[in-house]
Amino acid sequence: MAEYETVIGLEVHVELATKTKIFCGCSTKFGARPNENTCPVCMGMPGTLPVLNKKVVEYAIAVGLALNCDISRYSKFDRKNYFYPDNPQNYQISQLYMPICTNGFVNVTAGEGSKKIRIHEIHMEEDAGKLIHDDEEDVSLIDYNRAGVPLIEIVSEPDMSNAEEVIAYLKKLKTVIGYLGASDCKLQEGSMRADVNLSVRPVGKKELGTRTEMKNLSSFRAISRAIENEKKRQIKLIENGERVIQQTRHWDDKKGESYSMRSKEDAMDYRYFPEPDLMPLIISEKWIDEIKANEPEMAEQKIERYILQFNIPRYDAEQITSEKKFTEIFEETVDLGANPKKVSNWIMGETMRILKEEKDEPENLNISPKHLAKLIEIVDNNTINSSVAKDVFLQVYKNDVDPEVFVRENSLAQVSDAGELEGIILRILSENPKSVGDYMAGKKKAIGFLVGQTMKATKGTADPAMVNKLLTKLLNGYGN
Amino acid sequence: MDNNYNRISKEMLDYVGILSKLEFEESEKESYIKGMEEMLDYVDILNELDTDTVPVDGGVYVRSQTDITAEKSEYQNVQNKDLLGNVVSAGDVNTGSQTDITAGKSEYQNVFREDTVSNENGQEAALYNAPVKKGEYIVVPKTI
Amino acid sequence: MKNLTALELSRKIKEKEISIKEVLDYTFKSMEDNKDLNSFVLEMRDEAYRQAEDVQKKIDANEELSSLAGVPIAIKDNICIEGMRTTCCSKMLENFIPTYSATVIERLRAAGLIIVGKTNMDEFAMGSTGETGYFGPCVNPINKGYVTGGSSGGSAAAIASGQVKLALGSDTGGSIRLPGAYCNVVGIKPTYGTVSRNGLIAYASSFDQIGPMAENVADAAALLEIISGHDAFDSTSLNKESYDFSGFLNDFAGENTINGNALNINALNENALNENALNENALNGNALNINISNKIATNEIKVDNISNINNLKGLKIGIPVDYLGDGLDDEIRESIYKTKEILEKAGAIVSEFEMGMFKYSVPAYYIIACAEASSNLERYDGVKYGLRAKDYSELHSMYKKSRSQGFGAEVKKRIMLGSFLLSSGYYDAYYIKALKTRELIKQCFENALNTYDCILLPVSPSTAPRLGESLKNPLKMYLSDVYNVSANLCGLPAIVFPAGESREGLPIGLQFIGRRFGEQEILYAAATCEAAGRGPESKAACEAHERGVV
Repeated sequence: MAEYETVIGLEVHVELATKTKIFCGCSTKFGARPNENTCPVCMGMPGTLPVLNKKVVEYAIAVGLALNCDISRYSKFDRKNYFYPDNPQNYQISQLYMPICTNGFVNVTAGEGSKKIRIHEIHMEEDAGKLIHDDEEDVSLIDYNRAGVPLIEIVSEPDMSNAEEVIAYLKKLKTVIGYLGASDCKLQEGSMRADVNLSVRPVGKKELGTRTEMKNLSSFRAISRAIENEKKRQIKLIENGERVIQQTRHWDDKKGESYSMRSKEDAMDYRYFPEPDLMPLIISEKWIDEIKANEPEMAEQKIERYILQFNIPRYDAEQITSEKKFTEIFEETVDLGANPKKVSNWIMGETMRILKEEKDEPENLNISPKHLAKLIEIVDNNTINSSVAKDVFLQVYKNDVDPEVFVRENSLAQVSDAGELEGIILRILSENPKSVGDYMAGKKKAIGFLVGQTMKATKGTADPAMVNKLLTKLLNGYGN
Repeated sequence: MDNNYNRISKEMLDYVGILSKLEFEESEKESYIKGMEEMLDYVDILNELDTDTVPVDGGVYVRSQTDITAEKSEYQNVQNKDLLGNVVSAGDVNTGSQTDITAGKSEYQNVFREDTVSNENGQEAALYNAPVKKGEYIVVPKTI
Repeated sequence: MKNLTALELSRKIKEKEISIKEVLDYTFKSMEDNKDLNSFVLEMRDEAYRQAEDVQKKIDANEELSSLAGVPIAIKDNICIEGMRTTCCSKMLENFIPTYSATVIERLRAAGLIIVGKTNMDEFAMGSTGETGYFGPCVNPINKGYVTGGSSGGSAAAIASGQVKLALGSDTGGSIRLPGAYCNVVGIKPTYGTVSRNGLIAYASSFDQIGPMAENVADAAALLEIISGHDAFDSTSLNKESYDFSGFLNDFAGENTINGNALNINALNENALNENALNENALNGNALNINISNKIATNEIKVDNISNINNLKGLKIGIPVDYLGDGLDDEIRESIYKTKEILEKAGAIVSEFEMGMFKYSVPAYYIIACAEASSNLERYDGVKYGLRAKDYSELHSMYKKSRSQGFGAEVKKRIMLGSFLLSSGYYDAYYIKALKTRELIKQCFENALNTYDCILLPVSPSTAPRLGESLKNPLKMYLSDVYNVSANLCGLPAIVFPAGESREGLPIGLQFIGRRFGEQEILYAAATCEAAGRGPESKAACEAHERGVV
């Protein structure tokens, strides 16, 4: 049986974080009532005209530069004509002939090493509204709040060959674009949408097979499953002597399969022609230089800098730079004098753990660097012990409390006074004769229980090292 | 002149109808076909012109990037203004020449608005003319 | 009131000789009397009187107002007015009520003009005769058996019949100029981008322009000034430093002399002249907006010797003779040469030349216009506004039925053609070809306008056809656009002015086409011709028709 290789290209739509829509002054803010963020322009009312939001162009250029693209000095918009209810004018203003960016690439780490994924082009376009199914009456309801929200579409070359590379590529895009502040790139929320173009061919063959386009992939898991499924489906068709039909397929993650979306009525001819209502864009060198100069430090640069400047391992640097928010917290906390490795540990350890548990997003982190630095300090100077520290950290995470204040108010300060501890320990010993007996009989492990009881009696605030030391001393002298 | 190229079959009429979302009675189809064929024959006259080297942006002849940056325009001092009347500049732009390209192109490019919210409470207006609505939404037949 | 120009009427209103309410009473009565012309599809009585009150208050308070404040104006029904039914004379938009007003409407309101109604037109502005509208054809007041021309037929007829003195039309392929020519009305298609398209329901985006229509050049110029200007809502709107179109009249009245008797000139602005102070020789050219051309037209100023209106000072005018070949009525050709004489007497240098590209402009125009229209009209789908069919089975059937029921035949035809021309396989052969042809035509005109300040052309190959005649022969109807579409293709300004009439008594109109931003030159030229050409004869002819003679 022949061996097949998979060839994958991605079309990624990214919702830009501008305050207003691309062609009108409507707000893009989430949470408005249905059809609230609309105006005659984005509703496609007769007689209305689009006017381009400058910030959209700036973001598009910034993303293009960060993805190593050539920025077109002359760029235009085109109309893509098709009828669909979420599309108020029944044409979408997009860019076909002269997109804003071309010829870029990113390097992703997948499997063994690094792979270069080329980017064919990036263009600007407008988003469509939302269709909601109404079960009651078996109709569809339209909300145009999203119609006109600015998108950039990033089209890759078919350089990927498996789900791992695809996900690495998407994560890379997300990081880069997130760093620029251009979008929050959330697959689940739809601010980043990936369409997968996939074809298969026998290993060694140069020509590409017929590709299909897959939509409705709203998580990394769905993407992986869909790629596997489609690959198998196409191979099966070919092995059966059938042709793969070029089509758009809708992925149903619940069912774990895809189905063809198109009907006879969805003619594919979009009849693109230059948008006559918008003027061409002429991008000057000066503007590009300005945007380049405003580019924040990107992940790769940060990694190298962290290693050199802060002497933390590469792994740590990579973890921290995986999210812009982490880098902000990290840099500011270190700025306040905290030990970089310790800060890194708190981020990689507790922070990430709690985020995962709470299923929360890094952007929502409420930890002020000042408080994190303080926490590290009071652990360092033994004011609290490490297990208390975790509890305090949870409060810092949840409510950004001042650790010192919190410790004081809740009497969490570590009890390190030997005299005080001894008194408590003696009481514990007298309350637990069996364990004492066990220990004396040679079961050294019984001390663990007694340590535990002491910690419990002190509500966890006892200095564990000291407790251990004192217990050992007292037990050894016990009975004497 | 090869007039066969301009013949419109019933299938073609139906296909263009799908693109345009228009349908015709059987009895009407002949007349629309005839009307279209007549126009196509008429506009064929443009084939007399040699337009191979005429630059337009429509996908066929794309002006090179160096063409553009080398050109100047006499209207460089024109100010672009945004929706609120503030002057918006796109930096030092080299504008294209006057005989440039397509459709009614005015002498300047880079017409922008600033990213500031200027609309609010659009719901009433959005729903005002809707033929069928339900609550805060517009209703259409079920889509996929 | 009949014999006043709009500018004069406004002045009388501002001087409180007449109230706006009286003017409106007269206007609405006239509209009643002329219902059979079908010029209006919507009367805005309540709104007009309400607006009149507001403007009257300002007048009574002696506030400073525009040169046309208080004057009623009719608006073509493809321009949106908030809260007022706007239909484009299509069943598709029969009950559509815009939730915003076009920029030009805001400008008119700010200038104190009173909107009295929406005028009849060809459906979605697609037509050259004024007959394709859903509410019936526009009827020509000069002779009711004939068309008004289109697509701004209602606006032209409303002026020609005296219902209003001012109207807005729109011109995509001659839609202001053709009805202007058939109805003896002055109309201007401005340089593309001069007037905002925000609120103009689009037909062909690259060509559409709103323009003024009036009884005379000065009124049209004043109206153009009011509606022009940069608009942030229209990306194709120009941002010029000056929109002074009436200023030319200063020069017109400048150092030159008019040999006349007892000039009774009423100054229109604050730098008022003593009414009778003007002597035979010189007019004080000191920034006066004097409506000389109108005075001449209405015989208030008697001009003995036109040669003394030496105001065209060597203006170079070109006549493209290759455009005047077969197919053009002899009488219209004669009219061109008569106009040439008038212009030369006034000091212009008129030459004949070969322009080229004559037979390519209409095909190029129709390809681009239909292509853009097919896209611009996609939004009419019965979803958010407009007609939604009652009897559909699912989504696509809803689209098809709504659109097929809502649009008339001509509109459907152009949409089909446009979609076809843009479809893959044909895009290069047709659409791109047309764009390239357009470039060549632009170069042609640019070259010509390097030599000449403006070009004189007919507006139509013949005078108005009879009602019902053209729809049988659509191709012939399209060919009537042959003189007009070039100005749209190139974005150039053009003005139609009355230039006599045929032996049958039907109006003949001609046009000047100028350079981009060359409105001044064409206004100069048209005003001169108007002064000389609009003599008593054509007025008498109009009156004769009104009395039912021929």
